[in-house]
Amino acid sequence: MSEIAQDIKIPVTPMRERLVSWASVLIVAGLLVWSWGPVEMYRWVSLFTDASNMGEFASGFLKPNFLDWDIYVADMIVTIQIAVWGTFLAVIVGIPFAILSSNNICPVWVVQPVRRVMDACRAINEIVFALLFVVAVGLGPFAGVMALFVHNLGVVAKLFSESVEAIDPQPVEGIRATGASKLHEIIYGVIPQVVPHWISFGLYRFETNVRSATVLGIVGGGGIGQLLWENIRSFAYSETAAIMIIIIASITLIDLLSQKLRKWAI
Amino acid sequence: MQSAVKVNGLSKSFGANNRALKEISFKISSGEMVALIGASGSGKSTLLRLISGLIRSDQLAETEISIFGKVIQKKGKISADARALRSRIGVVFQKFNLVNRLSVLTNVLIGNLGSMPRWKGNLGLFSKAQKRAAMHALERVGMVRQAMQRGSTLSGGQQQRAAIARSLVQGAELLIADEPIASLDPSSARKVMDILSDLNQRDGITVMVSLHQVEYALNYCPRTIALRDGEIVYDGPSQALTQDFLGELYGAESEELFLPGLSSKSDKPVKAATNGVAHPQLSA
Repeated sequence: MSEIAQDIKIPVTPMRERLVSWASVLIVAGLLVWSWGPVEMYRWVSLFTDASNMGEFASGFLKPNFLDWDIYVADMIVTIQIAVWGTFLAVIVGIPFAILSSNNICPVWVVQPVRRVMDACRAINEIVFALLFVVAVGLGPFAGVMALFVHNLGVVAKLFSESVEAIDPQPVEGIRATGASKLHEIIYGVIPQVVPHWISFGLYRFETNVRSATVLGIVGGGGIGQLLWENIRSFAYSETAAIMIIIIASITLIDLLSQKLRKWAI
Repeated sequence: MQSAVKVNGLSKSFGANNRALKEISFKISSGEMVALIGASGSGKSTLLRLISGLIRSDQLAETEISIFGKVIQKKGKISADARALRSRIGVVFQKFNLVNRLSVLTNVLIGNLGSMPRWKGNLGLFSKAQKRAAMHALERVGMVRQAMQRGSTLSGGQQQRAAIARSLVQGAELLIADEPIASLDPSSARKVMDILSDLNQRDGITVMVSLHQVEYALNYCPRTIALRDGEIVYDGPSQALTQDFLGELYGAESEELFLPGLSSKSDKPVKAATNGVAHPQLSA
């Protein structure tokens, strides 16, 4: 026994690896410390010292007021309708951009510029686009649709092009060998392979867009966000609670439905 | 007779040290059925993909491939008429290369794309006549019942027959088959080879088929071109390919070229070749 114990050497984690793991911990800790002051994290005590305020605030939510439920539901429906059009436009316009930003279809001098434009669409939040479109096309749901459309165009192009880049090239070659054109190759060889993924991504974006559309109203982009914002600002917590419950119920329903549809698509 | 395929001084390298083909030249006349044999890595697939204009050759001055007298690529450049020429060449692949999510009928209709107005093809507007022709092609390969099934639901042999139907619809005058039976069981393989042979005999389609096993070359193709390490080591009647001769050509590699179970009896393949009942073209 003792002979074996002396013979065999226990492997030690190399110094380099240990240094790397310590360094990562230090970096994360450093980031947290660096951000502490600027975001006023020192005010955490007020969560306890002002607990009575919080209690009062919360109790307002305990008695949701559904007196105007029909208005809330009507606005929620508009919110969903904003998401329907925003998603539809993003998908339809996003498809050609997705093809143009796929490395296995287009040359690099097309792919790179198109991708950068799509990056820009994606980088800016829907709310910011909504603010811009409110100025351009006026207050209302149409500004919201446009905001969702532009932001999601970038998202859809990226997601769709990733599935295009993952296709099996052999069927496409089979079509090329019949003397078909490049566009034929895409229509008959590429798109049938990616359609199930596209449907799934499209539905997922729709879910996300309904969530985003609920706040577009805050900046005048239509939908239930406007009511929500007005009620919060006038301290009408019972009404706010009712609106939030309607939002939660609708979004849960849409998520469940779209999950079912996505499973069926693939 | 007009030459269907004319290859001159063809070389192809992948990287600096990997020469897949070394200055190959040969001619195939219209109406021939030619087998291309060789061990894996001998350059069969590369040669066929070059002939169908799917890849480019090395840029040597004398390199030229023409199909029915028209250049498809020259000095490593694909010619401008390649698309038009490709529609006269049917290509059948080892992995079938069908689009799995489309129906068999649509896969076969794709064969029309090269010869119809582009916008009609883009919109999928196939005429009644084209659909009828596609069904006739499927009838020819015994696949009428599966017409509305998705490609992915078919067996390997059925997928290959559908791929052949696509070439038929295309109106291919030259059929290039790259290891069409390598992924198939023996009975499906025989069916596919019977169809290819029938197309050659009845429709006069020139067939060029690469095969892994010599038995099929002996049975179905009057002429064989044998490749080894990117060079043609034999080009002539298939009957001359006895096992001893193949042993001479390929050394230890020749084992790979025979079906297991038959390789021990050297007279078997030759006997099969002279069996003129099933394939009269060999006795002629």
